[in-house]
Amino acid sequence: MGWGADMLSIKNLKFGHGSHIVVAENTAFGGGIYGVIGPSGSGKSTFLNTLAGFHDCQSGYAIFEDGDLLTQRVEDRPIAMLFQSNNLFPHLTIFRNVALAMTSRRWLTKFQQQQVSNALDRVGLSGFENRKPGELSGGQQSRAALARVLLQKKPILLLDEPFAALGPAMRNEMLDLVKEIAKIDNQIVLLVTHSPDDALRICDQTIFVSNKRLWLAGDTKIALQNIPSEMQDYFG
Amino acid sequence: MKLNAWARFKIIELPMLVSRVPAATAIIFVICLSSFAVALLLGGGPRATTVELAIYQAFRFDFDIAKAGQLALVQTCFAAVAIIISFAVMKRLDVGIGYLPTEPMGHSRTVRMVDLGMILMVAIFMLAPILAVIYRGLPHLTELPTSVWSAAATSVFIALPSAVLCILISVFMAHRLGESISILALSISPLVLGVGLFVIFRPYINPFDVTLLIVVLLNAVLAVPFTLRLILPEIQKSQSDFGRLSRTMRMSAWGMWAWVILPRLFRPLGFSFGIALALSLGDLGVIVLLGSPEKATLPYQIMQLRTGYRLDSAAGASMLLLMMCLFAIVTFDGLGRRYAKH
Repeated sequence: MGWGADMLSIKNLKFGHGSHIVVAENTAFGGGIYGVIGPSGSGKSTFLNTLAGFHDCQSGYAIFEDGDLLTQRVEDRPIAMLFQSNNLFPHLTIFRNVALAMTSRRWLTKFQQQQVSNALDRVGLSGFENRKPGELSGGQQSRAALARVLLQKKPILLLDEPFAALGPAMRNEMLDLVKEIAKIDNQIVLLVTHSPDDALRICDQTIFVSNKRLWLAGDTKIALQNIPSEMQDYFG
Repeated sequence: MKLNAWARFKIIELPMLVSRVPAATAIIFVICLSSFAVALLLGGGPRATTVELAIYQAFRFDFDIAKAGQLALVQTCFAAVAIIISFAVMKRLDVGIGYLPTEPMGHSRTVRMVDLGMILMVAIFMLAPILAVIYRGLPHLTELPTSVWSAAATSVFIALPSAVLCILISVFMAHRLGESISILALSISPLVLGVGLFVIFRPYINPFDVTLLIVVLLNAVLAVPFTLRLILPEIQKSQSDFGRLSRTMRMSAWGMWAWVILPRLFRPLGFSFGIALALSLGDLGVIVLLGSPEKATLPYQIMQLRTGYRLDSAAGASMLLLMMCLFAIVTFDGLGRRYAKH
């Protein structure tokens, strides 16, 4: 089951820190994976944090299901997010980390327990329920975080370089898992990355952020073959 | 970068000291201003009388409430000026605890020797009176009068609820504003508070009837600045590390507390509880105003023994107090560490 038809539309959005205000082109995002690429400090993470509600925008709207996300509380936004670090609570078991996506109650119903088990099974972590994050490899931790995202059942998924610390093989594995999950649920996924290879691997379309501007560059292959002049220095 | 000792001091340590020392000095000044137990126990004659001792004298011996109130006002003004100065020089309030250097600074041998010398001097200054208490008190521990054991029980009876209350207040005040307010608590002398509460209660009830309750409340409040500084860094770290994650997961504030903050807080909570207990057990503040032989705490009893020149018993009672304080800190710190989850 997916969310499919709903689009995320950005209108007149301006965001940033101090004098570094990024102006986003009016854009509509449908179900699919979007790579957000740009130099360090250009505003990629700030863009995601603005959508998630951790950063106030200067002006503009982000319309989803006829409502403006930017006026909603963080908790009420239809958004799941993975960060660069701290995606799991280190003192809790993997089972509890994932279960907290559904409820803060200590005792789970049979149905809830089954859902957690299914999510862990889907990311290949069956049998790891009682381990703590510190007892898992980096890749397994990322899988656990993705299992949690699965249970959150949010139509928009924001990924702020969550796999940056993983080796190439493990990162590719995670990206493939994200692609699999996103396709099934037809989620809108925004993935911040510095790697054109990552973008080419899973991103349907690419968003560039540079020179205080954010714009949808279109199909990833084409965008990365025709790099605009303001991104030339970044790609080298 | 191969910085020499002078360059390291000039570039790294001096800017930090310049920003922190004035505020730290002001706060130490405030603590000294409101501390009178040592002066009281050592006699505090006319040449060594502090405002605090004068309040004690006016209240306890002259029973001149008006004069005690005036002196309390003077004391509060002194403290207020010091606190205003400390707030003015502090660019921002920092908790100051929670950072432990993990990388050695690579100081030269000379610098390390100077550091070691300073640490030894402070240790000797601190340990000498404690060793004296042990040397003089230990042989008399088994011969303590019943009144000392009774006072010790009263102290425990006061300290336990006081420590619980202190921890509850600290947890509720664990934010930046709470930290600022807690510094104000440092500036308020227990004697000033005692005189104030006496004046408030007197028209309605006999304040001496609720002495122990007042001591419980005041000990709790006065320990908050210390316990808050132990608890706040861990709360801030949990919120900083996992606040965003918990919000995207729609965890309620209660859920965040129960699942994230509290389990990670056991260690500082255990240590804080031990510290609050020890501070309350050893408090010689408002009890000297409102206490009596029937409602004596252990420090009050030690003072009575000392002023009655029963020095062996005073040393034995001091040894008992030392053991109780150490037991409180070691036990609860150990429990906190045992159940800590990171």
